[in-house]
Amino acid sequence: MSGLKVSRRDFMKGVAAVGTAAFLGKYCSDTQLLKPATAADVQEQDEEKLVYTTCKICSAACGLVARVKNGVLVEIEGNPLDQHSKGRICGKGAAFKQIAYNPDRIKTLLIRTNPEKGIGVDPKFRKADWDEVFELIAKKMYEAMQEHGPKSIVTIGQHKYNNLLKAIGSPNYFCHHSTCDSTTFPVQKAIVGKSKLVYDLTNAKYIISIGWNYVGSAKNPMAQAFMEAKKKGAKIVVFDPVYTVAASKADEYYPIRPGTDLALVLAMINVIINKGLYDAEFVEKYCYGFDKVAEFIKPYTPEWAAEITGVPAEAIERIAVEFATTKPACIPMWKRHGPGPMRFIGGRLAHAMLILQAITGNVEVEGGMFLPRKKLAKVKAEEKPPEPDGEPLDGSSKFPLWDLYNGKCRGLYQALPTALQKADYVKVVFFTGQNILSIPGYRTMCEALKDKFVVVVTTVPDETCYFADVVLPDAVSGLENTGVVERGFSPFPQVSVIQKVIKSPVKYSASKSMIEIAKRLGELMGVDLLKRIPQKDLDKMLEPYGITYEELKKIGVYSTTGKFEPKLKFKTPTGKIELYSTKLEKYGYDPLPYWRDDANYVKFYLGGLGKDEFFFTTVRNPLRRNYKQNNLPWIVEAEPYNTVWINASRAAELGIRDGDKVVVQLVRDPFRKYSNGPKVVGYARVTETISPNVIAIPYGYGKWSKMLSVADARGIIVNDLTVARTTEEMLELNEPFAPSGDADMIVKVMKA
Amino acid sequence: MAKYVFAFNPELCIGCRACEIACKQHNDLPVGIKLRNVYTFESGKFPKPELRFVTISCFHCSDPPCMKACPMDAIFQREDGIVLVDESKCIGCGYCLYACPFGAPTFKSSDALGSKGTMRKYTFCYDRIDKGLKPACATVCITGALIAGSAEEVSRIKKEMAASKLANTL
Repeated sequence: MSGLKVSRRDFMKGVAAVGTAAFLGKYCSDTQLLKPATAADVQEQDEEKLVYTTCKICSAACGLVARVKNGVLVEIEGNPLDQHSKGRICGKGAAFKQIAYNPDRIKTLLIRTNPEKGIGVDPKFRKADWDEVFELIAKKMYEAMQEHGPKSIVTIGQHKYNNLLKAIGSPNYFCHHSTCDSTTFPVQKAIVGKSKLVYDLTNAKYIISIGWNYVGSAKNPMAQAFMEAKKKGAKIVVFDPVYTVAASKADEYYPIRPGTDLALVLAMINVIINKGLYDAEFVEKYCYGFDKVAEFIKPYTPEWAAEITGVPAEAIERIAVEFATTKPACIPMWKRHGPGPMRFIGGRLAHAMLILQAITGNVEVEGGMFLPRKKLAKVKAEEKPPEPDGEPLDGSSKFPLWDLYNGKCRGLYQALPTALQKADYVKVVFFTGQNILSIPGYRTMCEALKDKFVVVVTTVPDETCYFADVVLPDAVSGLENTGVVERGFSPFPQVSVIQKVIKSPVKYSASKSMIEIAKRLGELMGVDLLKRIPQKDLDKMLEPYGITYEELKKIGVYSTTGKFEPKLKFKTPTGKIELYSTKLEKYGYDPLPYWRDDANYVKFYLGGLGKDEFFFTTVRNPLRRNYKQNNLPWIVEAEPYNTVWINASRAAELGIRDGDKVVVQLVRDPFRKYSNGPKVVGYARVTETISPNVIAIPYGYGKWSKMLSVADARGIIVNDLTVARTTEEMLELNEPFAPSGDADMIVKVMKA
Repeated sequence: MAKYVFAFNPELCIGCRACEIACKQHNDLPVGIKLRNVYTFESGKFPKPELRFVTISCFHCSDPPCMKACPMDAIFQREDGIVLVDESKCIGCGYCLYACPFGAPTFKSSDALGSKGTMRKYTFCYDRIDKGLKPACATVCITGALIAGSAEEVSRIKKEMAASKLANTL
């Protein structure tokens, strides 16, 4: 290959610094890897260019090197200078170019000609030109705002459209976080004062995974860290109803009863406090409310938890002792895995996990948990945007703590479809970089969109486009745009470059469209909306790093370095880690993560299951990050469709054999019973790797858009099984943060 | 002349298939041809099941049976041990596939003799090797389960890994 032109000598030099470490994994110490990178080792080839950029497929944001010839992307590789991904990439990254060169890539602006909207109803798009499209959008927005105010405009999806909505004063910008991580992050903020906490698994000697499975979903740097720990001999214990890849690498595995993880963690805290194994010095110096924890934890004995979780009391006690006495140790948080934060109990679970992490003194130490290190400067708009026109329509402002975090990413995705249906005043809805299939109860959303003017910003004609009045082609972030990404995953702040790597087959992008809309709408309104939108000033953002964008382009990633310095300052009301949260208390929530026998989701999990009934969970595939890979030829070839994972003995009872077509139907959730609930049809995977009481379906598959030529229709769309919730139901939970609960379901399974 | 070899450690493999997709990318392979495959194996009974992953491709045997079987002398071995096929000589008869114990020779649509055409197989990314780089699959491997290099290098790494494991358990 003519790619990374590296002479043998250069290669050995470059690789001696990083590549060998990438190659060997552990033979290069982390301190060596944390040295600031230089580009000297990787040089440009005559005809082929090497361009640094960052993978924008998932939040790990791995550094990439792209080999580009005549503006065409030849190959993506990991950036060996990246201390974080260490020059390695996952399968999603290796197929990155198929997002840009997708056979179904939308290249022109489209306008709908069929006024009838519905699932499977051909929108009959026609090509349109720039002026026509943006005149139409600006006019529709202006008319709606004249009649119903700024709140009549809604965006769902990417953050960049938030700026447009803020500029006009609409409170209605929503994104996916309630289906993802928004339970853990605000809890983290309440307890330790910061969110996006970092777990230094690489150096941990003991790891407890409560459903954490970033190895199974191939979250590259986290998977590397986990396996590094394993190589170094760390003890790993996994609790998960599904025998995940993480479980397969663990020393001990317990198939815990779904939804009961909180009881397990509480019992471990109980053991550690009872036996006096907590880090008294750390607790005294840095924690607030330990006495209250010691009092509240008394009823949560291992025997009590064993009853609830199905994990033997002896094991709970022994693992708690091991966790407290093997340092450093981690009980890491995660995003969307099975027992994840989107479950209704997720916030309390996160709180308890933080208590366990803190009372064992595993905070701000290598091999433990630390606060993220960030220093990128924020760029403000020239002019202050107007006050928002009322409250967000999904009721997310009724969760005041959540909104603290969600100034940027608010939204009850699970309640948005029903809320939107009720909000008659909403006239214009933007769907930006977001597949409608990823919304719980998306069929309700489809209904809600029927009478709205819908603008869809996307790269492929997915299901969302069936409800679009206008389709705006998007650029592929990471390959066709510019920017910087700051990653808070190391003890030292680091920043990675995003460059326009290829000659884009598309002339448009979400940002360009947003600016154009702001310009034209502003003209109609007689206001310069652009002044209210922060300019993308990359140099200014990079200032605290003492580096310019041009310089960063040449080296790809820039990592500050030094000796690990603990940062034991916590931005909480007491300035300490609030085991007992005064913030939660102030807002009328439980200040400690009580186990509430009377909570509907607790009763739900402790109630019995019928003969053909199962708890439901989703799992994540290493090659799919939600729906981003659903139409990529290499990914679909590798695994065209998902299956229904069912335990072998339960399958035998139900007469289901491997490969049989089965129906999975929603029976009940913590709020409702369904006599004729939504159902999905798929093929059974009969396996020994799942609890008898659980059904799992991998996420990110299925299609019904006839405009997608690669995605496989045999796949199951998980959100065909979920229902839209209501804001009232979410408030009824009385939790500070309302997770989507899209795994809090009991389903029945039968042969099709 | 250095001989190039692989080493694979199933204990470290997480079945993420990055090697499989990186191979597709580097060789720009159409759908229907895969030169590297990852397999998942399940065993045991719940609650003590096991999951094992294996990545497999042409092994570049020292004494390649495919090369012996080829009636057209289309398969040859470089001095560094890399076994390649000269597609201009290949007639797509499939003898190599009969001979190979690993099913490495691949024809379009990838199953035995599929829709024929000339044979393709994993090339050890000889073009990358010639540039002093590792094969695409081993380069991306997230956990270091798949390593490739000169026989001396791989042997050294394996010894070091074993020693380090001992050091951590003793």
